[in-house]
Amino acid sequence: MVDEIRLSLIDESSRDDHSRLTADDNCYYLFEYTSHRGYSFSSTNQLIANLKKKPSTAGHQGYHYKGRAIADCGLHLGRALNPDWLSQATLVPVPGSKAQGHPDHDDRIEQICRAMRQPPPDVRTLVVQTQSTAASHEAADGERVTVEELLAVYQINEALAAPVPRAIAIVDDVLTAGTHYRAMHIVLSARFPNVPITGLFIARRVFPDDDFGLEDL
Amino acid sequence: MGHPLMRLALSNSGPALSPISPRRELGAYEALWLEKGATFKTLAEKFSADPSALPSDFVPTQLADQCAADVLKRLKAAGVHQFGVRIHHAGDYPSKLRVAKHPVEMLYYRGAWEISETRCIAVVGSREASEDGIRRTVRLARELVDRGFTVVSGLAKGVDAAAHQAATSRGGRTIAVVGTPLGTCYPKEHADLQETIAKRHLVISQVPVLRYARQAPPQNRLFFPERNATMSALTEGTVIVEAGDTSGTLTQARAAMHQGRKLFILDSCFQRADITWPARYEAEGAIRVRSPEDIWSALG
Repeated sequence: MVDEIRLSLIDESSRDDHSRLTADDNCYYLFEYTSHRGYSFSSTNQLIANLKKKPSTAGHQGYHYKGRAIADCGLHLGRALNPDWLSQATLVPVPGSKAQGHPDHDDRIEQICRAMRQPPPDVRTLVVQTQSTAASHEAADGERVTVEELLAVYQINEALAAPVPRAIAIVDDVLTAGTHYRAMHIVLSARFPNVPITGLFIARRVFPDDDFGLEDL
Repeated sequence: MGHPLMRLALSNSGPALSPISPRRELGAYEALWLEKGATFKTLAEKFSADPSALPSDFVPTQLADQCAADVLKRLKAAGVHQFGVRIHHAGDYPSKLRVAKHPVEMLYYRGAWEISETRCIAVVGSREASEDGIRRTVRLARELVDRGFTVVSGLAKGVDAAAHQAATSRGGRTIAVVGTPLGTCYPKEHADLQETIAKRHLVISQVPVLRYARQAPPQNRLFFPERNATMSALTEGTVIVEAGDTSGTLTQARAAMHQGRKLFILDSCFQRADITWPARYEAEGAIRVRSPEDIWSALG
């Protein structure tokens, strides 16, 4: 029991930290990390940094931590989810910012989903990205991708659309403004109306109690 | 309420097993504190009898939500616009707190929680510290900073404030574990210091906002020694710079010994003829600090 971490819910006390989320969004997360402080020593920051190591740096020192981080996230998330729900749900990873074929195309979220408990959950890359965008964590403030820009490059992968999911979880590593979640939600709810959608995140970023946190909105 | 069947029913319905709503849990924790006779001890006993329980398992939902709304309103009115909570069983809850005799299920914080994950040493002592005591505090805090440690203290007058100030002016990190709720400060003249630590470092409070607001100062004073046990649990060790035989600082000495944390006592304490506690704690395993080297070698 000691290591079992339960999922926390985005509620009215935290929703305003994620400006693209609406009051109806049902989103869960495991950890929190503080934005803009670069506290690389903390366990959550390290986990996220390891997850985000670029595929083009494979073979470089420390890259093996990425695999371990993926396994850890799969384990934590798998344990925190309700097995009854998971056996009926479809997990849809948020596509990485680099489209297939790009040297930094990263399927880490899909790998996290597939690392979850046995029997393996239904993981489907139902949304694909047709063109690369700037990674949110690399973009300068104000240059972050918008929901509209994502909608223009998101496409339903019809080859995987059947059977129609009974419940969908949009899975991503970090919840910042909620832009990717919002765009995914729009695309998926248009294609699969009336299917309940949940958001699952490894971590959400929180603002420190200072004056520069708002830039991240 | 608190019935295992109810918890099972909840966990079977949605995507997450026993998910945690921070807002509801903080409201439930506050509601538990409003119950007659509630103390850190009675609360710890409640959760120790039911180790997977959350505060909301013991409190009607409506009451929890009402208390949460009241807390958020009060904190906002007090100028606290950003704060967080750490809840047992949720991510980032510090498992090192569980060594405390009466571990807290929830605490509030302002600032960057990550600082609590650094190597932390508490520097504590008398409110009525001597000039020598303050000088020793400042020197010690600087050396801790220079060695990469975070200086933790309790924002009180005397040694505590000197430790925080010396750490920040040396460019280091500091954590204030306060004996008041967020949004309240004691002593009042440390309000600016508390604000600075909240904005640039980390302020931690385990004190319930509503209970504190409803009871009188003499009862609220009891929250001060209680926070010393949490301060000890959060750190690798505690250094006592100066303290009388009846000082609240000794609560932390007791807690450190009980929790298996290192307890350092400055040599100057042993040289006082008017107190007996240093020898007593040394006999129990505390480390007498004749030079800072005694601290570094014990910490490894």
